[in-house]
Amino acid sequence: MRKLIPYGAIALVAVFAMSLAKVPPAQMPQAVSGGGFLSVLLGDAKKDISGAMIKEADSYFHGGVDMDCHHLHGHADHGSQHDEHGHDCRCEHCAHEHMKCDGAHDKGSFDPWRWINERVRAPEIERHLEGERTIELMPWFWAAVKADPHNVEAWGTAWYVASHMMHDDALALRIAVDGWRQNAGSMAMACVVGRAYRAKGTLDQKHSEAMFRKAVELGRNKEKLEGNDLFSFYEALGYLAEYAENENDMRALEMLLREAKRVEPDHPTTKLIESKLRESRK
Amino acid sequence: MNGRIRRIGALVKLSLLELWRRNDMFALLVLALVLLVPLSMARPFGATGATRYFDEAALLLVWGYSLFISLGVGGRLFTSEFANRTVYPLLAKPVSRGELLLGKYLGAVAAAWSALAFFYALWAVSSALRGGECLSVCFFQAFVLHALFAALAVAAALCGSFLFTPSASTTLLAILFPAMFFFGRRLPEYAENVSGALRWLVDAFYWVAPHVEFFDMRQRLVHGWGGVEPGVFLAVVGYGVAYSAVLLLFTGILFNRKRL
Amino acid sequence: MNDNVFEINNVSRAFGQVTAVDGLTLSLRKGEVTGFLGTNGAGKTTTIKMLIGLIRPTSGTVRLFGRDPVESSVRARIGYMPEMAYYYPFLNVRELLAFYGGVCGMDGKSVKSRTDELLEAVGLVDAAKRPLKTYSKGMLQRAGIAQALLNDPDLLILDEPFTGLDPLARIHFRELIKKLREKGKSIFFSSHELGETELLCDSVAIMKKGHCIYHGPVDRLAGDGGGNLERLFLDVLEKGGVQ
Repeated sequence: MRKLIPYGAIALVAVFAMSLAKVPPAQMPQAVSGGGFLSVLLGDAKKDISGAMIKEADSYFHGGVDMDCHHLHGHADHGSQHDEHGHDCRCEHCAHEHMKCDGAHDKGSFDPWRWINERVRAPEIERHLEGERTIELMPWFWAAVKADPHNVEAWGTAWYVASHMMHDDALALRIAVDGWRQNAGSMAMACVVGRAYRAKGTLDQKHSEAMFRKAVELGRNKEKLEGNDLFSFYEALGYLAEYAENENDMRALEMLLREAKRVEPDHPTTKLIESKLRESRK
Repeated sequence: MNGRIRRIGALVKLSLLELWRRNDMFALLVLALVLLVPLSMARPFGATGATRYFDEAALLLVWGYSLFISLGVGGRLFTSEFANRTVYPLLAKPVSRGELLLGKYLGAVAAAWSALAFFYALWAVSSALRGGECLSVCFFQAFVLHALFAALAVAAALCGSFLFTPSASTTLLAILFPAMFFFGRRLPEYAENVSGALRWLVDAFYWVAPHVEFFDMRQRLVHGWGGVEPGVFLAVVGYGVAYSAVLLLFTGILFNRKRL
Repeated sequence: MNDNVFEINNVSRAFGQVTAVDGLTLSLRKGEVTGFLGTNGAGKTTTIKMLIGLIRPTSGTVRLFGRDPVESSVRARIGYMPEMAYYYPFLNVRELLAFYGGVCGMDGKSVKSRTDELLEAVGLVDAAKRPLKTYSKGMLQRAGIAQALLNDPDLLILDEPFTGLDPLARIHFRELIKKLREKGKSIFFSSHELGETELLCDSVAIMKKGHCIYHGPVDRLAGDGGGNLERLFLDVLEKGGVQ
């Protein structure tokens, strides 16, 4: 009988966990903006965890180097381990090509612990992941969107990696569509799907156009467009203008121009649509 | 000399038998399978081919296990002897306290290393099956440094068992070691953001606390960076041996002064 | 030539404010069996610990075969059984003896033959393969006796050897002690079992509040105690000594 107690305890925990997932989010103590067991479990921490997963993906992209660019470490030794960019790549903070190892933070005194850490934990040469090897980033993006399904940045970056680095259009479309399913009110996500349908392997102009129209419609319903939403709005308008130009649809172009001028008359995309319309009238 | 080797050998064998008969190892193995098998079968977005995440997770698990085993084995070395009164017949034998301490310590280290070798072998096989390179210079270095970490953890747990109660010692070390593992190298950054006595404390802690992050070559293994320079490797080995020796020496003093 | 296996000369041991042993002088001749008696807290265990080198006296000297018991090599000639030790539960008794044999520096062959002999002597042959965690208190005591005898010691020091032993086991143990005495071994044991002590010992030493208040041969009991050891014991404790 006593041997059954651990199994009973495990069963109890499992039942508790499953019933927790069925509790309406509004009744949970922490604010939860979406359903799902993981979301309920993580609560407010889901955004932080999701962000941490993206950071890990970024680190993986840079070959495992921690890309915290806050340059607080001093550089006691610039040595001779410089890559072609002239950077001391032993320092994990210098391994990124955007950083210059100029010794500005050299503290003067030798720190043996830092000396060891910089050599154990940093590669000799920074290596970016390329091509098929970028598949290694996918688990982290997947984890990011599992933790927070509304992390549009994660969905978008995952799509980008699948599409432009792995050149796997089918996978990219799958990711984009999944992301849209979870974020049907996101203009950025609509644009991602629109772009996914433009890829060679999954070309579908009808669906692409529909998604960009959706993005514009979502933008129309917003009180004020700024930041990512503004960017997505004009991105969608730009692609729709391209489709309208290809089909010589002047009316569509005029409608798009009206939309563009309504928000920001001097936006580069507004100017672009204007020029397309001018060209089409010639 | 033969007699001394036999005495120490008997003590080493005792610790090995204890670890492998306690079922801790099998419980850890089962837990590892429960965690890693589903992880290995994960298909992020339906895509296959990613392996580094699995390597990272597996190696992190191995590190967690080795810490658990090292602190457990080290902490129990003399605690159980005193609790069960077996230290008395032991010390009544022709074995000195120094030999007893050394023999028990080496036994605990051997036990921790045997577990480590087992888990590293599993990881190497798993990596090989997934087409990865496993038996490289980097792998050898990573194993050696990890083994030194285990030796240091055992020494710390052993020392802690003479200073504190078993639960207090284990709790303190279970906080200290992971904290240093993940944040040890960032202590100078924290020091720069504080002042006065607190800054002095952080600085002192940075210099004195065991820098277990030195032994962590997971990123090198996972991302294929290759081994560290021989000079750095030897420096870390020297650090591990020296720190463990200091802890053992201190433990020897405590043991000699302990009222039996 | 000094025939004493151990000599305790005017030894005192204090723990802070508490004096556990005060000016104790005691010795044991070769081949003698001495019972070490006293109430709880009299200083028996402290004395035994000083005898085997676990603790040092605050003053006075302790000599084991003429040498300081703190020297580890001299302990090769003694066997010690503590009061109620819970030996390694994950070992069986053969492995336990193999372990202690290794600690004594014995080679494998000697350990094996000695183990077979001792398991027979203490009656643990049938339970030899069972882990010690399944042993009863009495069986653990017998395992303890076996480990104490493993290195064929010249001096056997036993702390409460009768604890947990059933009547049959006590008879076996008594026979074992007699055989050891016939072989010329010296035995020093502390006990609360006056009846067993009276049967086995050549002499008794009685402790009270850190002092040895009686040390004499058991066969003097008829004159001293006018009867048996129990009467002597009570007399000595009440009067604080015997003329």
